[in-house]
Amino acid sequence: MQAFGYFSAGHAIAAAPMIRIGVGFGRDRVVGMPALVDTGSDLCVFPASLAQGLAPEKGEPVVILEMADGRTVDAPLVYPSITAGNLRETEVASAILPDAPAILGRSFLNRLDVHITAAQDLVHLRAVRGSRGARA
Amino acid sequence: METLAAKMPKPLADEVDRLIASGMYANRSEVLRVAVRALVKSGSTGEGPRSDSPISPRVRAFYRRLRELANDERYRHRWVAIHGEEVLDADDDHDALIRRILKREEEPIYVGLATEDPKPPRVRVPSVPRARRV
Repeated sequence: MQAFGYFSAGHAIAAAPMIRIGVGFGRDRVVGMPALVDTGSDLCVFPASLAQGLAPEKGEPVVILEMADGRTVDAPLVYPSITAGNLRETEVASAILPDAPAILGRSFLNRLDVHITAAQDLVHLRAVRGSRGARA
Repeated sequence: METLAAKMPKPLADEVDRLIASGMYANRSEVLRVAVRALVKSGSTGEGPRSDSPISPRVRAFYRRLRELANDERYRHRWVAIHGEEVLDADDDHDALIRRILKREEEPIYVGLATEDPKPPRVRVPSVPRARRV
């Protein structure tokens, strides 16, 4: 079980590791999007514009997200399944935030073997035995 | 960077060390930088770091319910799943509780720890470049 990603510069100065994912909030409630592979983020984050109406209100009603500049924002915490390649992880702690890019944080990445070969623009995620549970 | 010497009461210093021990911050300097930055951005009102968005009445009611449940031996210091005023489920294991509530039909179902002082969990998401008020 594995998935391959890529590096994308977008509007940034330096290219960032990205991967195409599907976020599932139950049967028939799946949305696909590219996501930033980010080991610095505690949680996965998904934009409200894509998740709204899909994510059931089940989980912590509010978590406080601390940004790099010290600002904090409230967001609901939900537990969707996330697929990438033929990998699938369920009950992944994820925040829903307006105007946020999709981010694959450690609540997802900590369950996997993560290889980022930046010089060759390679992102490789691989399943390992003994995956962690719903909490990061 | 400038070096500032600061004195603070022991309980507050203990709170700073607790934040470092939790892995949220690397050291005392980082905690103080984040706190001062938040104070400056909040308009120096003296209210301290706070969330940019108000907590909704529904969420406030949820925290009030968690405080009530902390007085019940069945739920005290356990994870509970609440739908309205009703406790649907409880467990010492957060993950097991989440797995069960995701299979239930009711919505919303809020999960939290039944304690005398329930608080929203704090997480770090440094990569989000900007986020508007929720």
